[in-house]
Amino acid sequence: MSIVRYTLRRALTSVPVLIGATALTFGLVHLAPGDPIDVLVGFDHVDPATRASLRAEYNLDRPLWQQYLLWVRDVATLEFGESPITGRDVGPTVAGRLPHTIALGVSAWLLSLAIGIPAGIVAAVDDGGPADEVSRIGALVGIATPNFWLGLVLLFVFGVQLGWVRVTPPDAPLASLEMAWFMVLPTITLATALAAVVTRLMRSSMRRELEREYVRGARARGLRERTVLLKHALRNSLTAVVTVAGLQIALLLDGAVVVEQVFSWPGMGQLLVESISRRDFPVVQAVVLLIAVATIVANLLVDLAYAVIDPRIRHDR
Amino acid sequence: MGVWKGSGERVGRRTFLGAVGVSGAIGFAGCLSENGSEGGETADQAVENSAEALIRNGFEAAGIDPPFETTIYANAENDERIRWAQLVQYELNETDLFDVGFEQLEWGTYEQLLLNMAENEENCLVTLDLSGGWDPHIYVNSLFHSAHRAPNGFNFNHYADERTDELIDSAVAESDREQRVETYGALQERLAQQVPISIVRSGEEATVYRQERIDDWRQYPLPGSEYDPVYAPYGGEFLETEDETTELVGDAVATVSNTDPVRMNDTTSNMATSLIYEGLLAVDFDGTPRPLLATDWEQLDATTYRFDLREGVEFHNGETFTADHVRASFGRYEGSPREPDVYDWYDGVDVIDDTELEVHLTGEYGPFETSVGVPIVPLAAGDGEIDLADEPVGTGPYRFDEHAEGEYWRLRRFDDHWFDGDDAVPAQPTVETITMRIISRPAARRAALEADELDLSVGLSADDVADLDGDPEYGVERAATGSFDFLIYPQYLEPFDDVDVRRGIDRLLPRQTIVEEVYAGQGTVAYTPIPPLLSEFSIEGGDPGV
Repeated sequence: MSIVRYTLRRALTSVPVLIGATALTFGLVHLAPGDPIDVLVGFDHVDPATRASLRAEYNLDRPLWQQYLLWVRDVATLEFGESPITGRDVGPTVAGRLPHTIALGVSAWLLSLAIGIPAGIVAAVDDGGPADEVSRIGALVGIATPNFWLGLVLLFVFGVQLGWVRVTPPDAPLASLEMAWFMVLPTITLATALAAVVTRLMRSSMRRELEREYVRGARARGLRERTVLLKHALRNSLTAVVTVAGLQIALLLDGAVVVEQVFSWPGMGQLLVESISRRDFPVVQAVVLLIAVATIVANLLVDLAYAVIDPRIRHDR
Repeated sequence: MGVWKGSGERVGRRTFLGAVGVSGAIGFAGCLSENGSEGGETADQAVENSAEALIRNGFEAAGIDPPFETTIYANAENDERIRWAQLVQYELNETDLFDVGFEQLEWGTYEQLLLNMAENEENCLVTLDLSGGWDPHIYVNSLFHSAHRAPNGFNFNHYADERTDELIDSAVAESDREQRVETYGALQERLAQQVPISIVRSGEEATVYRQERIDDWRQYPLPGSEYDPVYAPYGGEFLETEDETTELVGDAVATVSNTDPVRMNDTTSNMATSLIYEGLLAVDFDGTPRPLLATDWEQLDATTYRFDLREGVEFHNGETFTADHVRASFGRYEGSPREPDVYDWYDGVDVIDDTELEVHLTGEYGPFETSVGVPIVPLAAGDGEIDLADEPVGTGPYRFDEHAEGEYWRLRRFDDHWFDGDDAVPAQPTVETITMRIISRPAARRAALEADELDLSVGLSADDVADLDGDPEYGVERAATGSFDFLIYPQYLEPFDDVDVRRGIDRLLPRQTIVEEVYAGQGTVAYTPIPPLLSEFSIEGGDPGV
């Protein structure tokens, strides 16, 4: 099967997943306690007629399935509606936050790979040695540290005590040196746990490969250790890491909810938290849709990466 | 009348229930310390004994064998509330009359518990706070009037008392101040006898500012007007900065949600626009109504008020203020989410000429002068030419400059503001731009202040305020405010339907400890729902329950 056909097939199978995910979240969001009209009128004793007309204005008077279908119809044309709470269009609201979350997410993701993969390799090679021990403890601490705590500690030490970085984002465009400098702390905060996971995974995966016959064979043939490690064992042990690294994209969004609040970062995580508490359903829905799409795309990319790393996967069927 | 906002924000000008305090402190320090103060041991003991006797009476009447099992609730987002709920739990369990459990819920679930507790006959004690405005009506109507049973108001435990309803109704439909003072006095006494809920503490607002930037700050007592002290000719206040600073940077606890007055649903939006919009009247820092867009006013009869309007007032979009703006601005409230702001009393406006008008009320309305100052907006907002949710336009001393969603909100001095200056306040504000940085974590707000990225913070937790109070780098300005913490009894349920049981519990509440330990001394102990801020109306000062 060609890589193009493979991609298409995988993309098509994502459609039902997307429908399922949005239907489920739509149901959950709307069944969760709380009514946006209550928030809008401030739980006041508003005339029932006014209440009813507000409800109708946002289609909240219709059965849930109709609301869902209306929403799907609009979303199909990239129309996300107007927020009943803020009175602003949902599309631009979410789109305005997206670059911040992507910038933070991607840099944290790259940092975690940049730390996790080498650390994992070193630990695997140094099986049982001091480097292995250090990476094991480091990973344990990294996973066990809650990111809101880590964020606050970094903020106090480097922002307040040492004054090396700002505590709140600077008045600068996202793609600027000042902003990049500010992003160092949130990136570290967000990347720590992920780097720990990647390290451990890389180590065990590499260890397994190093014990395989072909590695012994390669060594027996007198190949340089460097070639054995990086050319043979690494490539094969990457599959597991690619899987996890891809799926971590969804986790990054999850972590962003906390990290964005600590660092006052105007991303989607913060928007999501605020919108949930405001019962701002259209915004919550749009953000969830975006997370679902991101997860599905990440999965797709993971599958494609497999196909590149290990061609047997796409030829299997 | 009342507004209540779910998450971390507080709604101003009218009643609202604060869901999430500005606290962020982790920990539980000193929480379970004893209530007794030195020397008061025996007096405390006596109170305790009498309280327990009251509760026992109630139990006997209902045929209940102690300990009675119940649960006290707090919402998970509010550390301070969790701590004081646990203090109450401890105090009640100490009597062996109750077996109280403690539970915390996420706000959404908590809100539903509150709104439906009476309907579902929940066996629960619920903790909450409420904040109001400059008129006593706001504090009592929504909480105690039988017409406002939740979910159509804040009467969560469906308290219904004819005498209470009568007093509330007659006090609001009365414009004679002395008469109102008397009626509210009687109402507070009635509530102290009935104890449908227990008031625990009266709150305090605090602003912490950097001394090197700001010389002096005067706190506006109600949430939603935190930045008014920068320039408030109506109250004789303006900000003199220490250096030549023309930019002021402060904080906001949440994103600005909606800046259209008829759809505004949170305090942050109120705060962000309070220097942009002006009304006919403004209420000054002491609670006195002052002329703003009106220069003078008089009550012609019970339901008619005549206003002289200010001339030469320009909107930020260039329109010139006239009587038509008043009529249009009031009219916009019809059918809007904020309808009750105006249509609780408004019948219509007679425009006499550009600078004179008469406002007709549906009935005599006591809180009129503190309610009439809703934002006056340009006619372009009614035509749909401008969307106030995108760009707020008013006549105030500052106009909307720019905002970055979730990041900051900025105001710029409006050079054509009508005020010509007087002895107390210059014709122009000294501060040119005001930037409100949106910082949702309390700990991050403090960090930003300490890192010199904020000139002032309006959203620090009580612990942080107390912490910085002694530091010479910071100035702390506090003001008693119109908010109070309270405990709701399930009075629809045995044994809480017995007034003796409620009175007994009320006496056991460790109010002093709550103020001192949980709120680091911020605020005062309270017993009645009308806060000391409204000193003329409040009978606060004694303990009416004992």
